[in-house]
Formats: sequence, C-alpha cells, structure tokens
Amino acid sequence: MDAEPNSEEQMPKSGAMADLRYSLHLMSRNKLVLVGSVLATGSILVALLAHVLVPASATVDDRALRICWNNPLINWNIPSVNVCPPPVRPLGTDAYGRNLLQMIILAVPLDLSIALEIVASAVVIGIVLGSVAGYAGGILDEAILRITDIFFAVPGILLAIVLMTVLGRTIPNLTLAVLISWWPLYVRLIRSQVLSEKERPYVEALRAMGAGRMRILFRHIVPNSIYPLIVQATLDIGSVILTVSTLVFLGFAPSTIATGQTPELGSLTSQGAQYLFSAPWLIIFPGLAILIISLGFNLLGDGLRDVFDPRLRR
Amino acid sequence: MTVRSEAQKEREGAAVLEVRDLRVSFHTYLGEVKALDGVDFDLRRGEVLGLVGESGCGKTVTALAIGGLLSDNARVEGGQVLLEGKDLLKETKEELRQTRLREVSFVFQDPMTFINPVLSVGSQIAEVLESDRVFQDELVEYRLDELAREESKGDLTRAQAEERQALEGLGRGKKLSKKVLKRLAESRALDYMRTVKLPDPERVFKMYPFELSGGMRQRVMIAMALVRRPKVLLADEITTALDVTVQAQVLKLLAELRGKIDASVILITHDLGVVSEICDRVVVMYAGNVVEVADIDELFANPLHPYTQGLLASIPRPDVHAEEMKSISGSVPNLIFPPSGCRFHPRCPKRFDRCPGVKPPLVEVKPGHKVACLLY
Amino acid sequence: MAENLLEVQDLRKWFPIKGGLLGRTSGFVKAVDGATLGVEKGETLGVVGESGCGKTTLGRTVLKLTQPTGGRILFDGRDITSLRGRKAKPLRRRMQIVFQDPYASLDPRQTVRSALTEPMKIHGLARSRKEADAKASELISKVGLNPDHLARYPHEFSGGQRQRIAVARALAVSPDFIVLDEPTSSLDVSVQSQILNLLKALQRELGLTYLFISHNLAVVRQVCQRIAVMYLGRVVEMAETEALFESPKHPYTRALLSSVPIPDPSRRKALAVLEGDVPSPVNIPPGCRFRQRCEFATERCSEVSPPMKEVRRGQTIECLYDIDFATKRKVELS
Repeated sequence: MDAEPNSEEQMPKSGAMADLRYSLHLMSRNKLVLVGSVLATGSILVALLAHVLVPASATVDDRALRICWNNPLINWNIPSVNVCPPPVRPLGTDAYGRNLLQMIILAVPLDLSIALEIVASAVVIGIVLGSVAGYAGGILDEAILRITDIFFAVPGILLAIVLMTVLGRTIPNLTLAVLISWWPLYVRLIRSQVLSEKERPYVEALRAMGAGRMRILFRHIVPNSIYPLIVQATLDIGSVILTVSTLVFLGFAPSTIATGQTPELGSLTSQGAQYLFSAPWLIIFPGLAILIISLGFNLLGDGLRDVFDPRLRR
Repeated sequence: MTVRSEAQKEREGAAVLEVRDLRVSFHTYLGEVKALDGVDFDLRRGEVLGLVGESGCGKTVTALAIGGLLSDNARVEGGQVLLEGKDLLKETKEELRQTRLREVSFVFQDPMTFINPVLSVGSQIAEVLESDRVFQDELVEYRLDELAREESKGDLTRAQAEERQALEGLGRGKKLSKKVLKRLAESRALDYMRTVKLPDPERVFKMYPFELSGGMRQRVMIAMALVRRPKVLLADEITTALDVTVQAQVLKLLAELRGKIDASVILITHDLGVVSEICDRVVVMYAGNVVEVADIDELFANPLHPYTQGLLASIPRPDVHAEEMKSISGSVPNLIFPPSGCRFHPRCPKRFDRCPGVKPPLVEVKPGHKVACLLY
Repeated sequence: MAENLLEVQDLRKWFPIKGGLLGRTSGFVKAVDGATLGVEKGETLGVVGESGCGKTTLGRTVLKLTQPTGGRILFDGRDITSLRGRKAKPLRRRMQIVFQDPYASLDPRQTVRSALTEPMKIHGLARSRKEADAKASELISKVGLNPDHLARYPHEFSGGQRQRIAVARALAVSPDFIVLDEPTSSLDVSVQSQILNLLKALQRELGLTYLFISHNLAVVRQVCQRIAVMYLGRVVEMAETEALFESPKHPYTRALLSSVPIPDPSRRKALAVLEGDVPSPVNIPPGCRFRQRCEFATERCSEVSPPMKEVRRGQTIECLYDIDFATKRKVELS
C-alpha cells in the first residue's frame, strides 16, 4: 500500500509515548514473548530481592537435614528418601541440609550478575571496535576483523577452560574467560550495522553540514545501529548463563563455589548429579532454574527483534 | 452507484470489468485504514483506462483487489468486481488462481521484484504457459496456425509436416509430453518477445534478468503478462522507474500493442503526462474514492471536481513556464481518520457548509462524464 | 553577465572497480568525466539528465562530499578542489544540500529542534542554547511549519513537511549556495509545487544560489534560469531555460525534450523515441559519447571528441555540428 504518512493534525498520538505503546503492542501480539518477558523480569526481580527473600542463616550447614524431602505435592517413588521434619521445604534439601529453594534463589543474583557483566563488557567492546572498524574502513577495519577471526576460530568453551587452568579458578577469571570468547560477535554485529547505516542520506547530510567524524559516528550512527545489539545482548544473557553454569558444572570455578558452599546454579546442578537416582530433585530443580532463566531471556530477545524490526515500523 | 439506462450502456461499449462500490480496509495497530471507500468504475473492451491519483489514493489497492492479491491484513468490506459478469470477490482460491493465470495479468513498477533472477528470461516467459495444462490446447492451436501460415508461404519441411501430423493426431485434452509442451511454450514465448520489440529476441531469450536494462526488463514483464492472452491487463506505474527516453519507448510500445492484443488495459499512474499520452478514459481517485470519470479530452478540457482542477493546475508542464506554480494546500489525509463527508473538503477551495456532512455520490453530469462533488 | 559563484572546470570523478582476489582495480566507472559549468550568483542552474548521467555525483563532488579525480572547482573565486577534512569546514557554512528522499535524509532519532540546532552547534553560530532555539523557531516558520513542530520526530511528518524540515536544516548555517538534489522527486504532485514555490521564495528573500539537479524537465523549466544537460558524465548543452526548451541545439537535448509526455491530450503527439539505452559509463565509446544513438552522427563523430562550442549567445553545445532539426541540415561548427 502506498499510504502517505499522516499530516500532523490527524496524528492520533505523538512522539515517544505512541512509539512505546506501539512497541508494547508488537510485543503483546506474541504469546511467547509475553512468557519471555515475564520469566526474564521474574528472574531479575528474584536476583534483586534474593537477600531479602532468604535470610543469611540459610547457607549454614545442617547435616541433620541432609537430603530430605517433605513436599506432599510430588512423590518421587524412591523408597530410600529421607523425610524432612516440618516446615515444608518445597524443593527439599541439599547435601548440606540447606533448603534447596533458598539456595536456588541465592544462586540467581550471582549467575545473572556474571552474565550481565560479560554481556555488558562485550557490548562496550563491540561498540567501540565495531563502530570504528565499520566507519573508518581500510586497514583498521581489516586488522580488527582479522583479530575477531582468530577468536572465532577457537571454540569458546575450550578457550575458557584453558584460560581458567592457566590463570586460576576465580570469579573474575571465569568472567574474563567467557568474555574473551564472546566479544568478537558484537564487533561483527555493530560493524555490519554501521556499514549499512553510514550509507544513509542523513549521514551524508551531516557531512555536508560539516559535522566531525566522532559526532557523526557516536551521536548518530551508533544510536541508530544499537537495536540489533540490544536484541543480541538479551538473547546472550540466556546463553552466557548457560555457558557459565556449564563451566562451573565441569568444575571450573573457585573452590567455594565448586564445593557448593556459595550457591551457584551450575554447581548446585553438578552437586546434584551425584544423587541422580537417590535424590533427583537436586539436579532437576537447579537445572530447571537455568532453563527458565535462559529461556526467558531468549524469548524476550526474540520479541525485541520483532519490535525493532524496521519493516514493522513506520 | 449510478443507475444507467440501457441506451447509455450501449453507447459506452460493453464493459469487460465492472468495479462496483468496492470497499477495502486494512487492519493496522493504529486503527482501521479505510483504503477504498466505494470505488466504482467500468473498464470497456479494448480501451486503455487511466487510474490516476496521488500516493494513498487507493489506485494500487484497487488493482490488487481486482487481482485478488491483497495482503493478509486487508479486508474487502463490500462491493463487487465483475469480470464479464462473474464476481471475482466471490471466487475460491483455486478459481482466483485460474483467473489470474488466464484472465487478469499484472505488470508492476519494479520488474526485478517479479522476475526470478536465476532463470533465463525466455524460459521464464515460457514457464507461465507450461505451469498449467489449461494452456495446452491453445498452444497446439497456436502452433498449428503458425504451421498453416508457413504452408501458405511455401511447402513445409518434412520435419514440420511430421510435427503437424503429430499435433493434429492429438485429441483435445490429451496430455502432451513435457518436452513437446516446453518446445511449444518456448516458441510462443519467443513470439511474444518479438511482439514487445525486444531487440535480438533469440539472444535475449537465453539472457538473465540482471543482464538487461530497466526498459528491457519492463518489456519482459509485459511479454510475460501478455503471453497468456489475458482479458484485462493491470499496469501499475510501469514507467515510473524508467528514464524519460526509455519511458517514451515503452509508451510507444503500448500504443503499438493496442489493436494487436485483446486485453483491455488499466494503466495506474500518478503521471498525468503518461495518461494524456495513451489513455482513452480516466478515473481520478482521491483518498479511496473515485472523484471523477471522463474521456481523456473532456477531463483535461473541462475538469469538474475541484481536486482534478487542482491536480491539473499543479502539474508542472514541460511546454510552458509559470512564475508561480499552483498547488493544493495541505497534504493527503490519513485514512484511519478520513475527513467526514467529502474526503477532499479540508483541502478544497470551493467547499461549502454541506461538504463536511454529506458524502457526494458519483453522478453523471454529462454523457460519459461523472463526478462526485456536491457542486454538481 | 553576472559573476560566477561556482565554477566547475573539466571535472572528473571516477570510481574504481575493484575485482579479483587481490582487490586490484580492473577499471573505472566514469561518473563525471570532464564536466564544465558555471553557476552565477543568485541564479538557479538546472542540471538535467537521465539516471547514470553523473548529475548526482557532480552535486556531491562540488560540495566536496567526495574527492574529485581531476579538474578544478572554484567557489567564490577560490580553488576548493583539494580542500578536505577540517579545512573544508568553513566551506560547509556556505554550501549546503537538500536530498531527494526526505524520509532518509533526517536522522530518525533526532527531534526537529535538534536537527536544526546541530549545524549551529557545529559551526558555533549560537552563543547559547536559548539563542539556538530561537533561531530554530525562526527557521521552522520560514519554511512554513510552526514552532510547535520542533519537539517532534521526523516520522510524525508527511513527505512534504519533511522536505521543509530538510530545507530549514540547510538554511541553519545561512549558506549562499544550495545543491538541490531532486528535492521534489519523491513528493506528490499537489505537494511538489508547494516546495518549489517555497524554494523560489527563499531564494528571493535570502539571495541564494541553487544548483538544481533533476530528471524532471517540466519542473526544471519552472524553477531554473539556465540549464545544463548532462549525458554520460559530460555537460553536452548549456543554455538559458527558454532557449533550451524552445530551440535545443544538441541532438540529445532535443530527443530528451521530445520524449517528455505533455499532460494535455490536445497536444498529444507521437513521442519522439530515442532508440537504445545509455551506454555503460565504464566503457565509454571514443569520439562523441552520444553518436551511437544519434541520428545525425557522421564518420567524424567517432573520431573527434567534440569540444564545447557556443552556437548562439549563451548557448553552448558539445557537438561538431549546428543542426537545423527541421531541415536536417547540418553545418560544421568551427
């Protein structure tokens, strides 16, 4: 249809508000996205409120309560299961006798913050290197691209494992290890956005106006290239949580985490793996938590992709 | 809708296509876009009818509705599209497919969108004919006619005689082998490539779309549309993307094709120069309404609707210089909240108190000249 | 004759075609290939031609948005051919451009106010934010919109309104010279004349000089005092508007003019049809570039590249002959 955009007096709603409402409308059209945003927002809320919801004393060992179950809603049909004394612990207790639900809640802020740190750093690196590569072109572009190629060529998990082994098993090193295999993607992404954006006539108009390169790049091109980056970052929060917990599961974590003292979703799962048949909740629920969080961010990311799709915009 | 006497119908010539009170709306987030609000016109046999108007006037939507090609968020709210009496809006998907294959063809502004870039030009034109068995009998007859013409010029070669025998031996409706079908289709494709004056057709036949210039691609599109011998050809802004000298070539081709082809043509354009060059009659649309219908000479000499008058006055003419150019104030309205009554009234220099309240009907004020304005 | 504000001499802009594994240059697209023209102070010079004739590249090169391959550009008597980067900045205050597509030439994330005040910031033309805002209000009123519109985003406007905003933005630095690159091509006819009238009024009021690039000959006739016709990267004819339309001298100009349909069926004529397509600007034939499509071409046309000659006062052509199109008689130009 060749409809002309509206003349001003007939515009129903104007500006940012209408834009936001339109975005929400696009998102609400898709049920899965709704589910995604609820899950993602839910996990962020849990992360923020974790230390309010769970008292500090919850992490104290209590061998007396070691691996027991008393939630009447689920019957595991395993004869050897210990029965916890009241009160009810909805997800049973772990090998240290701690309330598993509370441990999962405490693990969420740790996992989420590691993931956010990694993704945020990757985004910043991506914007700086990617936009410079895309806008400047030439040798600089070539050099940055080849460096990303090298990182692309090495499998991420392997690289992380090697780094952790060499540098030591600490949380910052874990973050760094995952980040190193993660940033090149963002450089590529923003570079390709900048490449297409810089050919648009408004950039030419800015040049004709005498605007400097930095102003054009960071005030105009980058803000206009950022949408796909937001989508990718949202999707990646889920994947990074998955990767981090995988690494922890495999044992690449500081000793407090690896032994399960400090609750983390990957380590809770790996602890539970030892009791796969005798106490299956120990692996099922932390695993489910990982699944829900990463699924939530993935669905949200997909939804944002729709919202930011220029074909759906006017 | 206007009531016309039999005598009037007689004088106007038989209509191939009648569009009656067609109403189409699009569902969007911001609201219902009332894109067509009672579009009414006839296409007569053998004529070239111009459908003109600015962006958003509904000319393209009208064409898409005729061809059953509206997008998913469009809804036909009412009206009829009668092709020789049969209502296309009531057809099933399969019937519509057949209609588009055999009776209504399209040519669009940008040929590259509708040409497959990885198939050679000739095989694409031929493919239309091979795609459906309905063309089989026609292809056989076409080839037999061709052979007969050869014979009248002189003796047939042995191969040709054998071919004729084989073709004549086929009963109606009997299936041709794929190979024969392909050969027949390709020979007719080549014929139509000659019809649209593609230079060196044998060579172009084997070329790929990217190797052709814009003007040649548009000729290929026309050949592809005509090769199935449609009753109605819908040409949507076919010269808009072309340079003037190439546009002139295509217009000349269209002029030459008249009389050679059976199709009646609806030429959709915003360019009144193109319209005055080749159309017999003109339908002027504004904001989803037909505002004026008249013969070409009458429309330009005696435009009645204030919009038509404004439009004609605001076209810059290549043959005269005007110090101050006329224009229509304001811009095309948003069809989610179309103006009440006459949709043109907010921009109309001649509006009066009744205009915002009453939707003007399309009335015939002179034989063959209809206008939708309360002034008449 | 008034003095030239802009002079373009033998301007060339070739774009290399990179090919092969090593990205070696395998040829050039000669978008502009020896164009010469002058724009007088206060006039509107039209540059017309078909797609690929180099008119847009000419406009961009003149503004130094791209570096010329050869030739000279003089602006207000100063050679600006090799100015670039920071050195070109003062020039940007004096030369501006309005693009064809008003949907794409405004940053979609920038309000109108920000779009209008940005050039003032870049060139330090306003001492305070308040002054910049006041200037923006003045500009927006000047182009026929009202100051309430300043807080809005481009997508809230119609095509015509966006083009007004683009014009206001160009005026923000108070330039002397504006390149108008197909400024009305993507607008509706009923709106097109509003913009053309606005441009004319602004020119009168502010004493602007325009280089008006267009493929639409009818529009050019309404707004330009003089016209340069381009074909394959060169200016093949240049004349005052009326002279050009009433008696074109170059065979290409004549063919171009007679293929424009006139919106008046009483003047319906058989359109003169120029056969063939424009040759590729990569392999430009030697001699006259137009000769393969020219009905008057002779042997000599393929040998000699015709120099620019004055056939009549103020009318120059790049053709070896002065042709009388009615009698088809040609006289060799000396």
